[in-house]
Amino acid sequence: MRPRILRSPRVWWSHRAPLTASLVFAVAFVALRLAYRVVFGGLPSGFDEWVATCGAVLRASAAFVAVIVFFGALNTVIDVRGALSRGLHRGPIRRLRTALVVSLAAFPAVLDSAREVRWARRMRGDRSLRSLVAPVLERSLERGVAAGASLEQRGFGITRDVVHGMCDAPVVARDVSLGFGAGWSLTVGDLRVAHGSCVLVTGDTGTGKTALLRSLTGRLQISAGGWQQGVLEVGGIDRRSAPPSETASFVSLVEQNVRDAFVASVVFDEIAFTLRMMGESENQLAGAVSSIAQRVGITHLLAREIHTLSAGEATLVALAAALVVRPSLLLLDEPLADLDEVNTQRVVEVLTAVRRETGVTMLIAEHRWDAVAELADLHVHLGSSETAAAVASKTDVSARASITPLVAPNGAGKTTWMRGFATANPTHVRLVPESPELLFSCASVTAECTHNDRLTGSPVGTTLGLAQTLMPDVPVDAHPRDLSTGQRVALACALQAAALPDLLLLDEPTRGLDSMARHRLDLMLRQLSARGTAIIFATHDAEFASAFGYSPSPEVTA
Amino acid sequence: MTRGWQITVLALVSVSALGAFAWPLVADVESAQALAPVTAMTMLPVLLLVAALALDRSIANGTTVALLGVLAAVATVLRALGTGFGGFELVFTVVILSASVLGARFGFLLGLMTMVVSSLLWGGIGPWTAFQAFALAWVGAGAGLVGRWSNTMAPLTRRRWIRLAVLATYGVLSSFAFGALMNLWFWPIAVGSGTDISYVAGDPIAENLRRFVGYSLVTSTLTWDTVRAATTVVGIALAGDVVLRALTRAVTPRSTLPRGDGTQTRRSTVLDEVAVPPIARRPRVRA
Repeated sequence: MRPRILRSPRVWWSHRAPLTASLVFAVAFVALRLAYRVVFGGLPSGFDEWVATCGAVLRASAAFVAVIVFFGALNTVIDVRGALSRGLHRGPIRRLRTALVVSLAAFPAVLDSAREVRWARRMRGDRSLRSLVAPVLERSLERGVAAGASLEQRGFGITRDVVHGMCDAPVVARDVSLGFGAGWSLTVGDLRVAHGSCVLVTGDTGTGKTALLRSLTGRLQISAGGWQQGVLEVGGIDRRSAPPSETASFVSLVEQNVRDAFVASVVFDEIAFTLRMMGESENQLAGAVSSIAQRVGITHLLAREIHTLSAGEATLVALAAALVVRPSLLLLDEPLADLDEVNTQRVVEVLTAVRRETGVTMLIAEHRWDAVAELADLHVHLGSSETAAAVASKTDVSARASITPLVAPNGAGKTTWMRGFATANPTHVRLVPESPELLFSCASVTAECTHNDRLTGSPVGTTLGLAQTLMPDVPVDAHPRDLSTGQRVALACALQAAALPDLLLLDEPTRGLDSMARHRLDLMLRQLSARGTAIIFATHDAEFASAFGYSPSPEVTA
Repeated sequence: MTRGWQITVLALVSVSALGAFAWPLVADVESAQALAPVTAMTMLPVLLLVAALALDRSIANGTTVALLGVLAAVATVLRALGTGFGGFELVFTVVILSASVLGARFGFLLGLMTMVVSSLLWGGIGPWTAFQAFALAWVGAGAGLVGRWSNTMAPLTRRRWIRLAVLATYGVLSSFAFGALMNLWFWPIAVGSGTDISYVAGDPIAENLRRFVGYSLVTSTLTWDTVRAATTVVGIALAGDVVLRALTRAVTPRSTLPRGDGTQTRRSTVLDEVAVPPIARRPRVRA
């Protein structure tokens, strides 16, 4: 299962690309040299002189051609990428080697996002260079920051071993407050989580679920620029005294966007990453990885490239990567956000089984708390925001054009259909993609709306007016990527609806929204339809869809 | 290794590497036939390794590692997507803009990393990789210095467009310098002997230099390099502002919360609770 550095001859043929490329390169090199010789050294006259010239050029360039082909063959026979992911925890230039591994893993994702952005630009008829470079870069930087946090959380840069002390109470908080600057804080107070228990953390977006989990890994206080007051102990260790890497052997975190936190190219390397950072031998970790893969039921995925995983598979791989160190504290940040019913059930089953077998202590932050409620011994609800409550006072809007929900499980082809439809009818149909950020290329909401007015040829202020109708409290000077998930969807809707399409398609607009934000989305869809735009939205959230006349058929729910 | 040491080592390595680039002008008659190019090609990877060893410790944390990784991936993707000539144009834009925000040493490493990553992905690792890596690393390091210089000249470069103009000027200069450097070491290998633009081992430097300028002008300066310089300027002018903001935003710690929500201080509703474990305690497996 473990990839070898020197590839076995059986797979040489399937890795022949470097050799092929080197042959092409070699031929081009000789041709160029001949061209120089002919153009700048005088045209040979007659057949014999041509043959002599060609022969001379071939002889003179033989050495370098040999070098080219030799290195092409070398690149075919040796798995450099596989070799790089070994021994990252020690030895010289380990930071740069880690950066190289991260880079190779990020490459397919960046390429995908570049393709997506190109597609989104075409759809909107936006030809500016900025609209290509800015979203790709912004997306990649977000990914970079997430991957950086993931590296540290998984033991990168560990300088000393932490002796894991008492663990009858993995989490003890005494009069703890957490916050960022002066603008935001969360009072946790006193909390004692006993060994082997499972705590469910709920609360609306922005109430601090993620901050609470990140404070337990040390990221919030130590590397992310937040602050902590009071005493917070994890596994008996004062959290402020130990950076995330030093507790990587017993605190594991499954991040909210699991794909952004992936740091390796292949599933095996991803799961083995923390163990390698801990300095385990390759033999030992191969055993640990295969046993955890079996436990989670992803043995068939071990050789797969990370970027080919579906949402459900990605979550299971992240879970395996978190469990492989046999943590005593497992933190899960909205593990079910991207999953349909089948995958949700699978993740909950794995968590239940792991807990029964290893007695791990778990903290789960989740909007869909009904799915994990059985698992939980303790339910911590973070208080809801007053501002959100004020906005939610429902205005009654009567829909004019139709709103049609499209409900199907992960991988049913909703996205493909929507894209094909929107691409084929660009003047009548507009699409808000699953990642609305694909459409953002400016540094503020106002600038984004003005840019959109130019694209659609509308009078200045049209888009901004629409955006303010859809979300009255939008901070117009904020960076579009600093908006909340719900606000981003609303801004993307405003951008696309300003082109006055007959039909607006929305791909998974409910993703990552809490109940309040869902409520606002409901209202917004009705407002858009009242303007005469028909809407089709794809979702796997049957509850949200039922508000628009969706009733699950028996076949689907069975 | 302290910052001072890192910079000293980097300077020494760069001077030696420049010597390797300029082997056609430095080598004597006999060694120019075979020994000099082989020496240059083996020396440069070693020098690259020394530079990497010296700078490895300048990487402070996981975020810097990851930023280096993803920015190199972005540059590689843009190199692959570059539909125009040469494919280098947007790479320069990304490397120059990133280095101007994140500093000279980061810029050096970004240039190096970009070349290594793209060679790895296209399977094109070979003696030429070290030359490409050094040349782009110098472009990055220079952009870092230019960025710092325009910070120190703050009253003069207060306005964003002035900073961008400075970077665009640097972009033009570095595009041509990059092209010339890459031509220099490969010139004798690419052209062979017996033409008007050939390298002649043992000729006076001035004569060889004259022919080199001729070779450079006809093969790249007026074509690839000019296109690269023009697109770098266009890239920095059109995307520079947004890119610089994005980079500054990425390296500033922020909460996950949207801005503008005001002060919100709340208490969690469950206090002083002790969760009860559902099963018996298990001895820890890993100490």
